Amino acid sequence: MRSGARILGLLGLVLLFFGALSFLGYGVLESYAVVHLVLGGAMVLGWLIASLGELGELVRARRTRKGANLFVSSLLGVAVLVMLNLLALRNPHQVDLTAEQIFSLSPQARKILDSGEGVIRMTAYLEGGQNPQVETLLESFANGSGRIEAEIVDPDLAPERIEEDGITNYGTIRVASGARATNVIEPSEETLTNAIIRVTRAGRPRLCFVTGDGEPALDDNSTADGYFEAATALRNENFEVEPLALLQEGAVSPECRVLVLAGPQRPLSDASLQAISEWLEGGGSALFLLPPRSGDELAPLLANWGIQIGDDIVVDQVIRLFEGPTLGLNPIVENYGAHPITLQMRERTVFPLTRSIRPGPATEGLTTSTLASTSASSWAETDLEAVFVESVAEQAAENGDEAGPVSVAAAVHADLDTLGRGEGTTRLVAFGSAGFADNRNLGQLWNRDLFLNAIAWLAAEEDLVSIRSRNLRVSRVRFNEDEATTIFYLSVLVLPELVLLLGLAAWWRRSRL
Amino acid sequence: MRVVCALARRELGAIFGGPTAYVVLAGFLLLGGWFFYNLLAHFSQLLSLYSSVQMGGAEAGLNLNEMVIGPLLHNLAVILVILVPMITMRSFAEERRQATMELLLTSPVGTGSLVLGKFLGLGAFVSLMVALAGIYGAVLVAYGNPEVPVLLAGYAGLWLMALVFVAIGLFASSLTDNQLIAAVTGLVTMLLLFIVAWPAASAGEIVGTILTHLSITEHFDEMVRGIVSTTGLTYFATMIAGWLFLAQRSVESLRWR
Repeated sequence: MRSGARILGLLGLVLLFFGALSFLGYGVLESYAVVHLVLGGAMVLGWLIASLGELGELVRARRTRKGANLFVSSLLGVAVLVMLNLLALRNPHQVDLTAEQIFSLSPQARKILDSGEGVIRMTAYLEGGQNPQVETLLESFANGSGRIEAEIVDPDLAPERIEEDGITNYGTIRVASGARATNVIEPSEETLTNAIIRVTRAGRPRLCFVTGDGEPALDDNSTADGYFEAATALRNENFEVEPLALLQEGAVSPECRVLVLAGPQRPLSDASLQAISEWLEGGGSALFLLPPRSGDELAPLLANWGIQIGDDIVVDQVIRLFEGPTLGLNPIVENYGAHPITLQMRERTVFPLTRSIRPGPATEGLTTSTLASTSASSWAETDLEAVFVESVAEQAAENGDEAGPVSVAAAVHADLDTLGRGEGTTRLVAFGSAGFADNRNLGQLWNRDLFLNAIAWLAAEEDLVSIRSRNLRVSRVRFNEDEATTIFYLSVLVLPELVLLLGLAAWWRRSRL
Repeated sequence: MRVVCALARRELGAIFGGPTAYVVLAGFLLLGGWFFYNLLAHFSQLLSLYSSVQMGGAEAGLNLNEMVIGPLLHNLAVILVILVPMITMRSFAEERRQATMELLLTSPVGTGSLVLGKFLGLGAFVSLMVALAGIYGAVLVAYGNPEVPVLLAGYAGLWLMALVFVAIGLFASSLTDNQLIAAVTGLVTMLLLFIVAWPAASAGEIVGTILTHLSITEHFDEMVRGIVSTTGLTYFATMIAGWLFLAQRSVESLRWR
């Protein structure tokens, strides 16, 4: 009976163990766990009841007292060790022994973090909750400053957070401080440090989008042509985005950092053109997104600032987005200029319904650059009637159709002193397409990156830092064939052989004693 | 202290008195050497390939610590998981089986000294294993340009991990008089420490942090990469102390069980 009760108790403990394991593993009480826990509990209870008579003796036994003391003292000992680990976790210090200090923050990043106050939250959205490189980067920030609170989220397990934080890519790190936040799609020490600068500095740069001439609305998220996605992406980068009724206002507000004119459907008035001209001459920056047959009245103004807009439409029936008509009006761009906006661009972008935008002739005081060009199979079609009315596009050099590559975006940096137009500098960027950044196309390929890079350059965020990325030091190893043989014998054969021979010698010596 | 050293010498003598030590050492070095040579050969091939086609950018990714030392140390760690229980399984289990345990427990030697003495003896043996494996690092320094501080940190991590395994093995051996059970218990416990962090990513913030911190591979990996942290050192020290403490409690309980 006694041994039967004991077996019952042991069986019960086994069932309880696996029931608990199942619950811990799944996090929910499903049938397997329930059956095991109930049955196990019943068996242990049965054993206790059957052993009631012995229990009193057991409790009073010296062995039990000693066992209880042992258990408690063991728990206390383990608790002390756990506390030591907790202390170590809360006050981490580390030494980075790599030659390039790749696991430590750079002095610039450390300075930025040490100069401010307040908590900075970094949330990394990693596929499967893991990405060793991003985790290492996050760790270096978390270990480098007590202000950083780092978290890793598996986007597939937290879809509501992706929605809330506007996450579009795995590997994105959201950097937030107080109510301000920005998403870093390609995390590196530089981009994260700059994100920290953006979310912690007082004030947000304002971007003023001209309205009133049929431009796409910033709050339009129901049509493909709207600019809701663009406005959202910019707000995620910690910019303020506001519409500007230029005709009513009469001038661009000095609170604007960048003026944006995107795809006006009606010609701008002389007053609006004058306001834009005054803005530029006052050192203001501007972004123009001008598709074919839109904003032609800006041609003289832009030419004055070193940008030539073509009266054409770029066609590429080979290197184009495979969706849509085969007319080839969605050329894909793979060639970028050597300009800060496009220096890191390696991926493709699509420029739907785009005209040519070229840097003008070299002028003192104007530094002009091509940002993006279509492929060699494209051309700038000048017969717009044929394209828009008859849906026909045929390259004809005699009609003035310029063969590709065709420049479809350009940037200008103007020194107003040299130009004699005022003081300071002005920056302009022009894209030949407004659809490039609309709701349908901003998320295509790498359009978002190019658009945001252009805005960042125009906003001239001078307080941002440039941190050289550090990699593991390159290694060399040199040995000839003989040396390779020596290494093989030494590392694979000689040592183990010596050890076994030593063992044999020791055994022989002992056997002789 | 003299008693502890005497016990350590006794334990070391017992290990080297039989064939186990030599077979374990030879096996460890044979496998380690084989891993090392193949990793080095592969690295050398890649270097030649990138140099010959002038892939300058790709060459920048070739680092001896990352591509040879790191994988080698991880492989050696796995070998230790298998071999250390073989060495530690007899430490208390054999004493109990041969009834010499009663003699030890009734002697003036405290259980703390007993456990510490055995730990030092076994620890000296695994330290010898790791020290002999240092020949691979020495070869790399002789023929290449690895980052030496990172290399030393990696070996230090391997050594600390080996000491933790010895402490676990001692505890497992103290629980039973059956060497096989002692070996399997030790092996399973060490493997659990290897894999405990696997569900960390989906386990929630607090539980995930606990599981990650419990994982021996997290702290070992940190040292292999060249980071020596107070968190990691505290982990190794408390793990060794913790398992030795539990071993001492277990041996102490033999007095009245």
